Amino acid sequence: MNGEEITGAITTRNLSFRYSRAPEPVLKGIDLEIEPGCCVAVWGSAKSTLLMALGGVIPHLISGHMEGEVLVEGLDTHSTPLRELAKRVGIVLQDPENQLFNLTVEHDVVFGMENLRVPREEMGRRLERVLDLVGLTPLRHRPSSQLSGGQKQRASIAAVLAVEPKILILDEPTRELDPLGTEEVFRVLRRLKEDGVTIVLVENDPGQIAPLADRVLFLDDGRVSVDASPRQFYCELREDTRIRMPQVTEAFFRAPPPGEQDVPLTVEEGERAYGG
Amino acid sequence: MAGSIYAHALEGRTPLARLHPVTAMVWTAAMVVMSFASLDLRLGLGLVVLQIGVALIGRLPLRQIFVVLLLVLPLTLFITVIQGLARPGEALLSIGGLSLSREGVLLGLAITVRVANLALATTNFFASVHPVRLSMTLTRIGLPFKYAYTTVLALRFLPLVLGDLRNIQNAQKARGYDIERKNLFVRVVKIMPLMAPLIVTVLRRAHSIALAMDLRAFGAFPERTWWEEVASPGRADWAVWSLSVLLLTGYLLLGFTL
Repeated sequence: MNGEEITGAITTRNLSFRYSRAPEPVLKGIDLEIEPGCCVAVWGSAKSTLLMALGGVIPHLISGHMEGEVLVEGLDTHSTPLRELAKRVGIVLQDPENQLFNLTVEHDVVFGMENLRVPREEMGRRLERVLDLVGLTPLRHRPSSQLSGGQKQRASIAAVLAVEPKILILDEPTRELDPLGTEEVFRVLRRLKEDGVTIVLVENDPGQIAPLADRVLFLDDGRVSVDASPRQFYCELREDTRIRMPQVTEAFFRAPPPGEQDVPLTVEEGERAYGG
Repeated sequence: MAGSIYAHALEGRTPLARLHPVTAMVWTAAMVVMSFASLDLRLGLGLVVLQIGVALIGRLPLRQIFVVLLLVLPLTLFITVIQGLARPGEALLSIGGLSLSREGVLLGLAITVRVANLALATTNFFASVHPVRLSMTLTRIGLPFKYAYTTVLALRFLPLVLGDLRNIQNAQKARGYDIERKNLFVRVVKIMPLMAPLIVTVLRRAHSIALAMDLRAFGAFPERTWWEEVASPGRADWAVWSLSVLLLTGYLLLGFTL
């Protein structure tokens, strides 16, 4: 970085990535600066690949050809061991079933801390805090296999948060959940955002994303084509059929109310826009 | 998992779960050695009674233990019949030129009892030992954690694999692929084509679990801390160790004399 001071939680410079045996790179020259405490949603193609690169899974665990650099709190993911990155970045994957590989919720939550040699007393403190945060304290001794989908994903988030990362990366965390489970997960994410955790996520529910995200990125052909606030994002891409937007936002574009109004992202904002 | 054998140990439902994991290992090792030490039917049956007694005293899940025994029964009956047909000796039963010899049947029964004893020893072990405390103990006695952890992982992974198999079966049944109503042999043949999608699914799942484990710093350091605690062996543990040695010695002596 030529002595340049890094202030972002995650910074990428000219990041490109091509999977082994693939002819074309899926990420092409991406420059990003994600500020601490910011929530960034990612849409478009190769979004999971971008998330894996931001979290250091690429290049450590996924083979391919990576160019450029990714800095997590100033540490280059190329040269920093995954165990060091794991203390800073927590990654929640799509399938909650595969992230709970211990026998009870409690054992799943402490697993990362045990691996990182956190003292037992400290483990107990963190265990109680994260279980309370995700609302699973009453289920701490429950076998992971007996949880509902939403509970499983919350347990996965708790397991990641127990390591106390400042950055949380979530790859479609609600893909396999029903609306109730999705709401449970987003309730936790809203609380984490209030606590100042940096969140980067791929999520297909626009109704949940729009009020949570500070920025929405759109990846088109491996490049960031739009990087804007949710309001601006929907304005710019309102004609793009690939974009799903909250129903209230869509209604606003189809039948705008009289006068100058901000694009609504929530039902409450919609009510105000239409004078309800 | 509530119905699984190890759930009893996990939830501390049995007083045996309070014993040190090494104690359970010593006891089980003694039972296994005794099972192999003699083919005397009386000794073998005595061992069965002893192990069922332990299960009763330890409030282990007897019904589930018997289910395990029922699972091994067809194989052992097959062995008994084969031994009866193959071994020369006094005929117990003759049908159409085939006769079952007394010696062969007795040998088959002794093997059945041996298999039952091995099944009892292992199910009693898994019903009494907390899997995480077992991993912890194995790590402390020198086994690298990544190997010691396989017990826990296997207990979590196997039900997932069975679930995947059920899903594939149901998907195929929905398309008219009949598996259920055929006899056992046809069923085995019918299940073979399901192995390819199962293997692919299992490999994908294993990759995903491995990724999730790496992301939580699995194997980051040679040593790790533990949330579970295992107290040093107490009087009860010493008593079980002594009893194991005494029983084993007595059994071996009896085995040589009978």
